[in-house]
Amino acid sequence: MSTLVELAPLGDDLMLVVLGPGVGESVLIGWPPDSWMIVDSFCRTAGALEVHPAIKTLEAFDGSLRAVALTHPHEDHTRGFASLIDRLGDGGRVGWWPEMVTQEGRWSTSNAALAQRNGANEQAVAAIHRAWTENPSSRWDLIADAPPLALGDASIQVLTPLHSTVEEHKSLASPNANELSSAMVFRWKQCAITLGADLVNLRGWDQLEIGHGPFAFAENLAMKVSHHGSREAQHPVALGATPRTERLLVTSPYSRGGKVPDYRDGEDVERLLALTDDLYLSGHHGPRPSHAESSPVRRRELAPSMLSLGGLGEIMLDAPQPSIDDCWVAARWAADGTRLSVERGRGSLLVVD
Amino acid sequence: MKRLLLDAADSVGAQLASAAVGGGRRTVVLSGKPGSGRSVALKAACRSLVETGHRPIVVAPPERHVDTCAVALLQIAVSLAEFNEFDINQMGWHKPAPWSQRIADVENWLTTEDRPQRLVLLVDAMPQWAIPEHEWTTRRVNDIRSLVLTGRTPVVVVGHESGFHHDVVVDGPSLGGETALSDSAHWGPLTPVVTELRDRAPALATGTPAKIATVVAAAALMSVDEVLTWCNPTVPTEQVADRLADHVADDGRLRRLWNAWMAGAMAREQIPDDWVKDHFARVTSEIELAVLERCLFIGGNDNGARIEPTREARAAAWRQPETPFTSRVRDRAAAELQERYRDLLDDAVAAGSPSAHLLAAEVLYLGARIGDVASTKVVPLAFADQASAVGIAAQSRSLWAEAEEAFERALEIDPQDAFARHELAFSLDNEALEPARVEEEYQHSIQLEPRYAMWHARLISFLLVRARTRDALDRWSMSRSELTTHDGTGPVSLYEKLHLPIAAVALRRAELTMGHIVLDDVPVWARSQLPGYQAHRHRLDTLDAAQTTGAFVPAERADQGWWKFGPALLSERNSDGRQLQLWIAGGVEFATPERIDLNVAVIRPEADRPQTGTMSLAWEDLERFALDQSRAADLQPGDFLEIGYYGFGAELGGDPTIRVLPRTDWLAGIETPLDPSRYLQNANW
Repeated sequence: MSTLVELAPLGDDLMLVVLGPGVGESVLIGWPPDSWMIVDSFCRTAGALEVHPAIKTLEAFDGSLRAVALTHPHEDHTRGFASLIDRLGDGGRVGWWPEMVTQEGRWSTSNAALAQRNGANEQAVAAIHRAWTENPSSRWDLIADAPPLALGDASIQVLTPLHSTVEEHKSLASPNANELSSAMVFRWKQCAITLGADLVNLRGWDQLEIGHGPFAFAENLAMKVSHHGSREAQHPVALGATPRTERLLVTSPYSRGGKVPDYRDGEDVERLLALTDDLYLSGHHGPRPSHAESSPVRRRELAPSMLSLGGLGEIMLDAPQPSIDDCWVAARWAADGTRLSVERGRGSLLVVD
Repeated sequence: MKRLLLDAADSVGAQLASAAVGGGRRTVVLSGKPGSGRSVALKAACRSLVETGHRPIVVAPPERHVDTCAVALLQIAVSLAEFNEFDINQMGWHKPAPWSQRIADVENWLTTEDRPQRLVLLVDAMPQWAIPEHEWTTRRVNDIRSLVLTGRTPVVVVGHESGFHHDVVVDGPSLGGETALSDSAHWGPLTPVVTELRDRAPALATGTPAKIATVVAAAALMSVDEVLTWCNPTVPTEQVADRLADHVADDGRLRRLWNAWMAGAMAREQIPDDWVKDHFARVTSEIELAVLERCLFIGGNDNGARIEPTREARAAAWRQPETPFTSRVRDRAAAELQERYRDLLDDAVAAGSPSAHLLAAEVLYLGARIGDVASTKVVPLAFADQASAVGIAAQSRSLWAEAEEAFERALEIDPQDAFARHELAFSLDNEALEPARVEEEYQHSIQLEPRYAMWHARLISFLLVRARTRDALDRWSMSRSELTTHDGTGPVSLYEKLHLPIAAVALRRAELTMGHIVLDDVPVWARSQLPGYQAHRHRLDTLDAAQTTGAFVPAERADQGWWKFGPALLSERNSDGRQLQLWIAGGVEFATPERIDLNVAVIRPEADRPQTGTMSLAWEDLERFALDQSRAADLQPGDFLEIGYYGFGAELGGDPTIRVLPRTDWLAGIETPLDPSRYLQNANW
């Protein structure tokens, strides 16, 4: 098992890299000759050092960053986004909602996690605002019905948010950024990959189905599964209804309160396994079987340690986490859509039922 | 010479520290004349206390006003588990609270015997405590005096004629000595005097800001020759001021010149305005005007120019209820100032006046101070400083367009005026306008005058606010090398004006890496002397921890051993005598109509560290077991609760008890000078 920075150069292939250790998600897509797009961002601070896996990956491939996109203003997607904008090349595009609908979070708070979240979100939005005002041609509106963004041989079609969803959220006291998050389809030659952001069904995939048909995006070669694989984000319009062995599903976990995905019977992971034989997780928030690095793990092996509180439910206890450098999944396709490889880091999982 | 002075300060500081913690003494008073180095000695005492394992707490300027000192004490007492920071702009100063309640809270804190660590409270000079011109001031001073004298916490009070007995006296010529006479270009009309003084008597051009200001004033109002006949570095500041007062007592022309000088000097922050406030009264020898000065200065900014023209506004700034006495004094004083201002304005605009510049300077000074920005525009401007004074006055009243116009005028007169250039940038930045020009003007002003740490801090904060972290880090490195000596360090004021404001913005934006870089750069010796350092460090550590695990308890409780402190609201034993056996601290991550998702830490009394995890709690269970129903019904992401199970021995039995913690604004004390979201708000984002 190699490390991400040891992977072979991009060559003539299309490459999808999903990074996500448990809190934070970043999706990179590279296409020939050296173009890359990065969707969302996360980073970690270790004293005066900053670890930014997406930038590390980009530098490892010596890639030319053509576009960055922020799907929604949640800290696990925004942290370090300003640094991505700094690395855009000439003519680079910055994707973001055309208007700010959510104003999440109180700044003045005694909750350090919330303070950090609000700060990271504000910094990301400030960076986008600066990029758009200083260089208007960098602007890329992430809204349904916008013309596809063409980047050389590649194009990106933004699926959400729908205009109607935006209007609806304007009247809500607490808009839900997940419902507004920008799912998109990346196309290059014969390849199409769905990037699900954190889009959930209500006012999200449900509405897309109305406009595009029942399985509109289920035939795509791969999908970065929405919202960490949660049940509320699984929808036939993106995932189809029957197994399709050639399709790759990759998701990143979320290991804070309300951990997702849920590995229990009938829940998130089992449902996804009904749709594909190739379900990869970039990380995992529970105990890891010793063979997980080298071979697939069964879903039931991933049950977390629980502490029962009687009538009050139970606590899902945290497990030691691998290095964020090890939490990744990378896949390659040829121009005709043939999948060439799937590689993964030590902290990732290939899950079977 | 300077080394000797600092050695002397160390010696006095050591005496002070020893007196503070030795022999069961509770109150130690350090006395000395203005400019004698009391503050430096206090800092030395602080260092000495840190080195001997104590935890000194410094109430430093600008918290020296009676009322703010009480609020500071209060903040230590009731708001923070340990010393964080006093920021008068953010504290209870703005929150009306009955004085009796405030003082009762302070007393309660000061008389508490059970204290995990011994605290030593160091209160830096409060000269105005000795000049109680109002009934309410007297009462408050007496309240605080009696508190610190009877309290059980060692308290070191540094003051002059403050009514305490004196344990340690600073009697040096000037232990301060940290300020040198600045570049003569900053002294406006007094430039020739300053240049001459510096050339002929360089020894007189160093000392505390108060000393320098007094000597310069004396040289300007008498002559350098005359001053040199009686003044030398060992003459105390107070004695210089006495001579000066005698000289100008009956000379109206000189008084006007004094005013003109103050306009320029105050705009340049050459002297602390509380010093001006006291000594202006001495020089003019007019009690009413002195009271007026006191009224007008309260609420003033660093430049002393924030003057509200109405009684209501002044009362609001003073934050005190009107009494017949204060009301009468204010009305009378304001009327006098207005009348004097109008007379001078008429004179100043009269063509051919031989002393037009002099009059104009005073008109600008007074006009700026009463906030009549529009009228000051009719005065012919000869100096860039004059236009800048108008700009500062406009800034203080949030008339940003007026301020920009004034600074533009200053730059027309002198394109190399760094001050006007910087304040122009600051005005634009404040309004989140023309970011490219803001950056250019900030850069240009620093090129012209690289010594002001605050200017560097503003530029770097601007870059951070624009999410240009890499540029901010580059500029930080440059500024640091420009402002520090060859060994990479500087005076404490450097860290106060450069490091802390930048750290505040970086932490607000969750740029923790930059937060580490900036705060780690503060030398260990400076940390204990820097009000606010601990607060920023604590916040950074807490954000770091939250990055790894989420937050389970409010930030003010988060600490390396926080779980050993015990629960916040849950009791250790319930009403039927059962002991708390399992304590779960939780932070709300997410809430849906059905449930709340929590990040939790499970704490058992015998455990060294908590177990962490997550759980979901149904609203109906929350309502069933929560003792704080109203807060429970309003739980939102970011809030905290505690779950407790009680039992006898190892037995865990019965229903849980849930307490919901009240919402607090932990970050209020470390706000940034300007709202970092201003550019977003301006663009309606």
